[in-house]
Amino acid sequence: MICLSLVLALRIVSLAPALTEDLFAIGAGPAVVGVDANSNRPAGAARLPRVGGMREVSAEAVLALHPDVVVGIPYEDRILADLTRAGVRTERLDVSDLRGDFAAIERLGVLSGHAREARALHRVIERRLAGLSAQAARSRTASAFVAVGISDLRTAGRGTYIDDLLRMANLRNVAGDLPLLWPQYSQERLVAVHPEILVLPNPHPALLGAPWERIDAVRAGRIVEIDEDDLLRPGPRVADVLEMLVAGAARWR
Amino acid sequence: MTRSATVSLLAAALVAAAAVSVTIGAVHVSGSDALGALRHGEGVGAYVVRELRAPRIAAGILVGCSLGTAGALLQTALRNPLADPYLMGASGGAGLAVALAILAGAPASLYTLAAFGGAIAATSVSLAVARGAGTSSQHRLILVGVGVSSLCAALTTLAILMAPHAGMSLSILSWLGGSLTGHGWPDVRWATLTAAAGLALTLAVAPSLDAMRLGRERAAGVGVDVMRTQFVVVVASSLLAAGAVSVSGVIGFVGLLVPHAARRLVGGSVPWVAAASAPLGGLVVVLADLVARGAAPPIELPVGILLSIVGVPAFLAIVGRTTRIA
Repeated sequence: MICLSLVLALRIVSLAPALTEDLFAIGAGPAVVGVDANSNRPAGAARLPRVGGMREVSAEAVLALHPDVVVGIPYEDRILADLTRAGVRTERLDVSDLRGDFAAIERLGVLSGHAREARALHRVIERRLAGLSAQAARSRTASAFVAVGISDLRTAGRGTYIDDLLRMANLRNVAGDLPLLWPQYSQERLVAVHPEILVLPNPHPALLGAPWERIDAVRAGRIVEIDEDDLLRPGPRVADVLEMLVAGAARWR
Repeated sequence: MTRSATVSLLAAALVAAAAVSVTIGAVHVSGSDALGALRHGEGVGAYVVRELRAPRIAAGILVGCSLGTAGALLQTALRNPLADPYLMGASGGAGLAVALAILAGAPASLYTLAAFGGAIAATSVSLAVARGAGTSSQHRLILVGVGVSSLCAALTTLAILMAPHAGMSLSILSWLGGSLTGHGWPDVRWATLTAAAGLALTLAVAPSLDAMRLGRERAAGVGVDVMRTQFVVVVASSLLAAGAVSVSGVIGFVGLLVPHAARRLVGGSVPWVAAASAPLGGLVVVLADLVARGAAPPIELPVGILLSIVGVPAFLAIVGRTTRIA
């Protein structure tokens, strides 16, 4: 009997933190046998074997875990292709925007045999997003800049879940019309457009000197800080991020 | 055209490119307003020109001049056409030090200092090892430099992988990509000081260096202390590279290619090649940065990558030619 369950049990390796969180959120956690170095949540995932991260995934470490399926994001195309050639089933899930995030949850549900839980999770998240969005729509629109990177002004452009969430929070993304997902923004332009609210991942280096000294949101302290493991990661907790955005922005409008 | 006319022309082109650059950017400021704002003026436009655009252009000039000059000196002193200013580990050490600063949560304004310290430390280790081994030939200097650079690069990769926060890994990668954004006047002043020290050192050995074009034995025959000259040049070029890398991250290929272009313009005499490499390097970096920030505003393109796209084909051409000679 034990042998049978070992043979039948699905073995999944996840190469992205958002996908890891999705798998655990839909009850497929026990099937996950390995994760990338950045998959630190939930606690159950943090204890699993690591197979590397940031494009430095070790194919050998993945294969040693004998996975039935390996899930990753487009950024990891190369390692996914290597694993496919090695005869492993791989699944590439694009979670750049909210639509992709939801599609990934549903797809992981099908792959792991938790389709019903996945659909339910998707519905719960969408309902929470709609409620928060309706709440934010009652106050005025404010402009916001998200500094994903402080020293290089890396930001979230059109087609990112962050851009989607800002719109739901009734915040106008200063970089929302840019055609790149994560562009580097001009310091000059940031000073000129003077966004009302600055959204930053936490932790971040101090905002000293140019251009920060000239940006009203910094001088007036209109800064929404969100733990980077929340802000820089799609997955099942996007509604929590929206809640923090709405609550943070409500202080100044 | 005489050599002095060529160098003057390059210098004039650099000044013109800098002046045009001041009037172009993601925020529209009219030409006369922009040049006026360099001296005085309130408001957003004046701030943008004086505190963001001008120091960035100054940094571009400094980086280009430093890397061009350092490359010219090193290629002659080590008698190697592929020597570049980062050869002794300046970029590797700077990258590692910035990675550690980011992991320690230091404010972004300290990255410049960290980069400079790292560049100097890595270069010092290279020199100490090469000299400690006794007879330090140019080959030994190059091999030790490559070794120290690789070690630093490996440790930097380790830092990226082990960073407790994804944002830190991204910051390190971004810095390594090379960019002139995010550097105000304090950084530029600091880099100017080190560049001046490097240039002063090179002036002291320029005549001996010129004699070394004849070969080590003949240079020694006319009374040149070859070992000492090489050592001073490596120290001076490393100072120049450290100043540059501290305000721009790793800008590749300028130090390698500009001296070759300069040599075609003014011939092989070392002082002239160095004199032409400085304005030509400045011109290349200022124009590349103008493209980086002016091509798709308000998106910034990575200037280091832009330069490599142009630089790699040129690099391959040089490698091909060198092989044929051998």
